[in-house]
Amino acid sequence: MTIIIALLMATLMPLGFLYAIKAIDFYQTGNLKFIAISGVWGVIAYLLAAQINPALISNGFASRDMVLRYIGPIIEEVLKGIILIVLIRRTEFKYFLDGAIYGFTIGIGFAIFENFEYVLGHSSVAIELAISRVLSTNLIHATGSALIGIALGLARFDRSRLSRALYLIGGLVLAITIHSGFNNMVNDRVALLFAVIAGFTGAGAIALAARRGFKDEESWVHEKITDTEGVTRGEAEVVQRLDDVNQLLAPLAERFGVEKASQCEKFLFVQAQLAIQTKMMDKLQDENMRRALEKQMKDTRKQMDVVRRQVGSYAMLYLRNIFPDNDPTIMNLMKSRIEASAAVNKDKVGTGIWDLNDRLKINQLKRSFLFQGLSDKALDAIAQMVREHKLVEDDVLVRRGETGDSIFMINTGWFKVVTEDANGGELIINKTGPGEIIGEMALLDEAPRSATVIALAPAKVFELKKDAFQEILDQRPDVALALINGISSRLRFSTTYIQKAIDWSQKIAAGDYSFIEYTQQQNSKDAESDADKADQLLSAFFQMVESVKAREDDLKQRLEKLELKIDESRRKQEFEELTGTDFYANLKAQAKKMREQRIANQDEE
Amino acid sequence: MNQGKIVSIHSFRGGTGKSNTTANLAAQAALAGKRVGMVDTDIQSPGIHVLFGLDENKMGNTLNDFLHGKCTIGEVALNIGEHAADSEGRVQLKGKDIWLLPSSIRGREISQIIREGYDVNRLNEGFQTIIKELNLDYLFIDTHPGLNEETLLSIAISDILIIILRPDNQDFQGTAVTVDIARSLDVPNLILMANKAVPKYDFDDIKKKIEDTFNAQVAGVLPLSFDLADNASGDLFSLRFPDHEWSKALRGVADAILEIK
Repeated sequence: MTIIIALLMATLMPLGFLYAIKAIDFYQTGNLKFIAISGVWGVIAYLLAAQINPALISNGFASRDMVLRYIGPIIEEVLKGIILIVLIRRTEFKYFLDGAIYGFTIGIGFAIFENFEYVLGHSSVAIELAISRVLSTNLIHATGSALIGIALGLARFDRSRLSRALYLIGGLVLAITIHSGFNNMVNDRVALLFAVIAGFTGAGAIALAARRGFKDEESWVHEKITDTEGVTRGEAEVVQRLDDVNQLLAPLAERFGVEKASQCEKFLFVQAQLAIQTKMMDKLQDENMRRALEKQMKDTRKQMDVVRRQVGSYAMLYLRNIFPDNDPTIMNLMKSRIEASAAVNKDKVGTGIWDLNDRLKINQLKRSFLFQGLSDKALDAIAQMVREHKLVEDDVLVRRGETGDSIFMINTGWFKVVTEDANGGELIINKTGPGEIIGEMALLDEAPRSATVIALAPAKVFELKKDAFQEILDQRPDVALALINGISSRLRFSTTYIQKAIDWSQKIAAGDYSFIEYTQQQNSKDAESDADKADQLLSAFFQMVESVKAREDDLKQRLEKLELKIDESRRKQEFEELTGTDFYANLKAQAKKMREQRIANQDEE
Repeated sequence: MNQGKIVSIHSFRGGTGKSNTTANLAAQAALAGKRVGMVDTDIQSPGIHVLFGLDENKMGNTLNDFLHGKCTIGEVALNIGEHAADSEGRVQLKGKDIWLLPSSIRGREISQIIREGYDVNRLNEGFQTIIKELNLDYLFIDTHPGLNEETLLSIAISDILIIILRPDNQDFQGTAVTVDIARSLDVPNLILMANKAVPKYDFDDIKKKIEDTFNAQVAGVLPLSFDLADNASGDLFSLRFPDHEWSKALRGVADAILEIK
């Protein structure tokens, strides 16, 4: 019975260490198949060593002491390391974190079977032996091969064969040294406590190294996730905060169920792995390895698509919007809750403030031409995604030239759509109000915002992020169609607007300003048709023409002002100075004489 | 038969386009079949030769030589129709009776005449002589801006005085004094010409305002033109670009001169 207990302890405790080390592999880059291979190889290495070591002694090649202290560690570490040299070529072996885990597994596999040999061979002290071995020798075995694994993992990204070989040799020498040092210490019969300390020190160092490897990977994920193919912005944001994944997904689990949440989790981890693979592609030098990685990335993407489908679009929308750009402040939250409950109380009794708030949003969303045709269920999902903003007069909703990643639906209030004229003045090109959509153009063509939109009075809008919007467009052709209709009616308005602008410009060119008065009359009426609306909007522009005309008239007046500036006293003074000289008197007399003479000459002829 | 007329072109300030106007007016007169001479009396900063493509080597004797008694006035006159009808605009002057009496562009000779001065009476005699020798209908005198002794002389002996002004305050003030002087010296014909008028103004209005202010005929309001500036004084603009607004207005001024009996 004690034997069985001892054997169980000798097996399960090392596996416990392995589990602890494996937990460091947060992104699960380590491959379970490879871990199994490593474990099995550890056993094989043990079996080989168990043949070789005694043979060396029995052949008289070396003394038992010699084998125990030096030759044994060399043979055992080399044997254990062989499989790592094979595994390192594979894409499943990503970084030294994986190397540490695979190596650790080999050591543990080796150690468990070695434990069996010792426990079975010393049945009287089986349990004590099992415990002391597990805490010391087993950890040293695991440490040794983990070191080799780490060295190989580090060598992976090195270009030159020589330095890769040096990494391997370095790791091997280190492993052998530690192993041999430990064996020497044990052989010299130091207290068990020191052996245990040595074992834990080794394993602790490996755990720290593995942790370091994880930190590197984490930074790669953060670096690469935003430009990893197939990962949307909202998703990337969630992946970047995977460290508290359970907390992240708690609300999702509540709404969509635990199974959905775990699918989401898997989805996020696949994305993180894809990000790590993307980074690896940057780092890997070896062409063969790069090709293999490329293939694996393809598989990862496929896997991601599979999981994405499992998660489904509405849960996915929710997932992507776990982190809105600006988290609402407590005050806003309070206010909207109070408002929602106040609004709802007027209607029927609800089940809870939040549900009713959603209900309210659904009703408001329905007012937009975009969402009119959607079912309540679909609207419910959209209502989860939109955020409400409140604006006061003169608040800028979108600014011309900025890149936008949201569309807005006006809930209440009116906005002016403005652009700049050549002098930097504000030029109103449209006005828009409840139910209208703003900013969809920038999302579709990815060009900067085409105009600035400013609140004319206090207003409320719903904001919908690009990801969510595009997901809806993907899922709902009727929404896409409504969008096209909306854009086409806007285009028709633009055509009317341009036509008017051309007509009136031609009138101005012909010097006919009479229509300006007419447009000002129009301005006071309610616009009914596109043409009326264009009249109104353009009237502001053509009022500028009037001021231009006034300026032109003013310029024409300037000459008159110049003329007035002749200084008559200066004129007189200068004239007197010039004519007051003898030279001038003489000149004048000569000139007179000359002219008289010429007239006389002419008369003669 | 009428004796040749002396046409002085004057402006109170530099930069009014005086040399350019003189050369183009003279060329227009020559094109109209008149016998025409041009004298560059802007001895301190001669410029008209450029419009006829002349440089130091192509010029023979200069007005400076005449004033220092080194040659006769007749030896100064260079026949443009013969020697300088070598550009797209000037080629139209081939065979026409048009002469230029240039000032020296040699720095040493310019500084000498500024230092020593010259006898304005000799200049006057030279004018009379060349009119007779070449049997000129018109002698155009490109004067130095401002009102110094030789300018006063050329105003005094003019049959026609053309005062160029830009429509701005400073030119108005200076032009007013020049007009007074011309009247005091009994110049028989006084013509005003506005040049470099900014096109945004109403030209008819400018004309009227100048006429009202100076009580004199305004023969033309010529626009400020980048095309003209771009020509960089390399050719006779009114010959090369006869359809340009500036050229049309200049011909108006030339007509006003030719109309005077």
